[in-house]
Amino acid sequence: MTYASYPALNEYLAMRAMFQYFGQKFSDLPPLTEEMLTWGEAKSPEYACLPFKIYLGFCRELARRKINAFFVHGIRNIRACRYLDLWEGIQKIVRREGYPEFTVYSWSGYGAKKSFQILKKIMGGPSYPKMLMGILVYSATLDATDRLNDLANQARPREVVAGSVDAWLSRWLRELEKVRRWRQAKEILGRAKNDFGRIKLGQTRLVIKVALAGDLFKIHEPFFNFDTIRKLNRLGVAVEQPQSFSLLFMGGNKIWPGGYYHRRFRRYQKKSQKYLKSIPGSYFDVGIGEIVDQLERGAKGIVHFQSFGCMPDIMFKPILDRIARDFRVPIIHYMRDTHASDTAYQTRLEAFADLLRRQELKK
Amino acid sequence: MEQAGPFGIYRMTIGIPRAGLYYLYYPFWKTFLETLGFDVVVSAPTNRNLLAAGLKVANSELCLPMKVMYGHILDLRGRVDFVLLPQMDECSWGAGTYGTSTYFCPYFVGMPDVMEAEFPDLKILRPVMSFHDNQIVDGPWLDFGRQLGKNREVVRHAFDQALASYQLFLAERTKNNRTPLEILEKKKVNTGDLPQKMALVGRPYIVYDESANLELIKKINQRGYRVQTLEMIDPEELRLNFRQLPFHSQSHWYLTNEEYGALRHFGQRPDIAGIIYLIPFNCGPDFMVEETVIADLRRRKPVAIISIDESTGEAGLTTRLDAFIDMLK
Repeated sequence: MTYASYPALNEYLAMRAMFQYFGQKFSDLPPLTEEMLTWGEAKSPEYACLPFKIYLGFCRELARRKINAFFVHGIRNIRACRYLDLWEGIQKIVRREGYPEFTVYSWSGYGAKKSFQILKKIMGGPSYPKMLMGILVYSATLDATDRLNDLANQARPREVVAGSVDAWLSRWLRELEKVRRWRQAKEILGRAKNDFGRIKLGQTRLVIKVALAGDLFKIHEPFFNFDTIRKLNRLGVAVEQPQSFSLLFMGGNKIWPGGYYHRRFRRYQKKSQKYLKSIPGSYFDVGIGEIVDQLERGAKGIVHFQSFGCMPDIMFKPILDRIARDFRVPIIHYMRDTHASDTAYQTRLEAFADLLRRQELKK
Repeated sequence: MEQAGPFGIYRMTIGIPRAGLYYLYYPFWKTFLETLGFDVVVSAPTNRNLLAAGLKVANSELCLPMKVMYGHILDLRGRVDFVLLPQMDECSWGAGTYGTSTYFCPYFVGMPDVMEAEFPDLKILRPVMSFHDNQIVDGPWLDFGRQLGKNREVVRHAFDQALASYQLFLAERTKNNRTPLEILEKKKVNTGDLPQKMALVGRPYIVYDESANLELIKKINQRGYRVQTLEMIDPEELRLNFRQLPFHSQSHWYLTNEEYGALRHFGQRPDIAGIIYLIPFNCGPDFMVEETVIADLRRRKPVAIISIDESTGEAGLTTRLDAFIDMLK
């Protein structure tokens, strides 16, 4: 079997490290493209959401490459959006279109025990100590990937030489491709942090922080969200990576109960309670709590990226509006569908960044 | 329940929107609240003004039934002390192991939170409503009753009464072959000489809201067909039907699975001339229905899929219906 996952936020690096550790084949992933989206849109059911369309095109590409197993994250509770329908629907359509069969496996999200069982089955029944080490390799690489991304997101608005932060980021993400042991990921992260000091940053620049909101699929995948974080960074706006995979995996599954991510996860859940007593989407509560937390720590606005047909995003909107009212910050909702224009989005972000800057300068 | 007001003692009123799951659970909600001593007020039937008010406030991306729900909540606002918006939760079967649970659409799960965010002045009562083996789970309702200040015995009695009333409603639907529209709204449906039968499958809040669906049932009746709906089928029969689908083809959505069951059930019945599948435009949970059931069903029965939103016109709907009925002849 050759496995693949989805490319969001370079999380596949952690997947790759774990599969390599267990001696399983993990494929290089094709980047998401417009062609995938076009094909996905043509073959999708009428009311499919944007992620369905894009991942349909992506899975067709995997099937073309004879990749027969797709390994994805589960979700904490199944009432979330159409996540499981999504993969099953995609399988059905790819099969109907005459491409080779592939299987979708999902793990985590169902709690540690269930995830452990799924993983054991896929990895050919390794011993429990080895399984634990494999999860450690995954977690350490995931943590390193997220921390590198976050450092880059914070630094990009201040970079003196355009592109220097991204060059640093891609160099160290490439290093993470080699991870086989969990200590390696830690070492690479340490070296990357040392190397980070060499990037020239303009410390006196006015950098405004905003909170980025939206459903997981959109905010984790730059292709979906028109690379919102980089766009904002170039406009002098810093963004913390919301709902990072480390937070969701380690915090949500209590990999280290009482550990950093678990505490953060609990904190966000607590903070969401003023606005939310139900969980209408997978990590809806965590997402809301994180936004509240960021606003309390000085974020000056909210950027909400949503996609057409996404139910959790539609639910997010009025709740985010209420949060924005409570914190007296501006909010921008942007909805993407298959015909949305990158340029139009850029213009709206520029206007929003201008508004934030003027507000700050007035103070 | 009585409360002191500026003009003396009055009974508190709780409003129930005549939208959403009203067509499925109203008898339960009403009996529960009335037995506890509250007055129940239902919003006005959907009409143009009510819909227009809802459209003004609601997110444009929402489906039509949710926009209608906004209108009903606006109709109740200011008229009642509280609005009842149950938080719909899990529907499980058997031992509750993974894979045996289904859910209501996220809009129904999160609606109380969304409405609280939209209307900060609105006082919302939000009991959790979950199901096990098609039965309403009592625990959350007993807790809810006690939160309303009633003692355990009174709440238990109210729950038992409500359940009995719900069972009666179910029996009336399935054994006497009546729609919720006839039972709850006292509307005349399927009257007169209607020699043939047509199945109308869809979510109750779009099938029975005559204003939202432009009186589709009446239109079908006028063309000589008796309408058969999902709610007239025994729930166990529905379940057996959707359970016959391969496991991975079953949906994670409670109402979608019921639709799968109904479509399969009507597909096998020789007395059904054709099936109309009514879907609100942009319905998230129903997006795979065509792939999963209808593609196969079309080989056995004529099926028309009619999608509906607030811009759907009378003429367009009539033309679609006439074309479908012409095809049946």
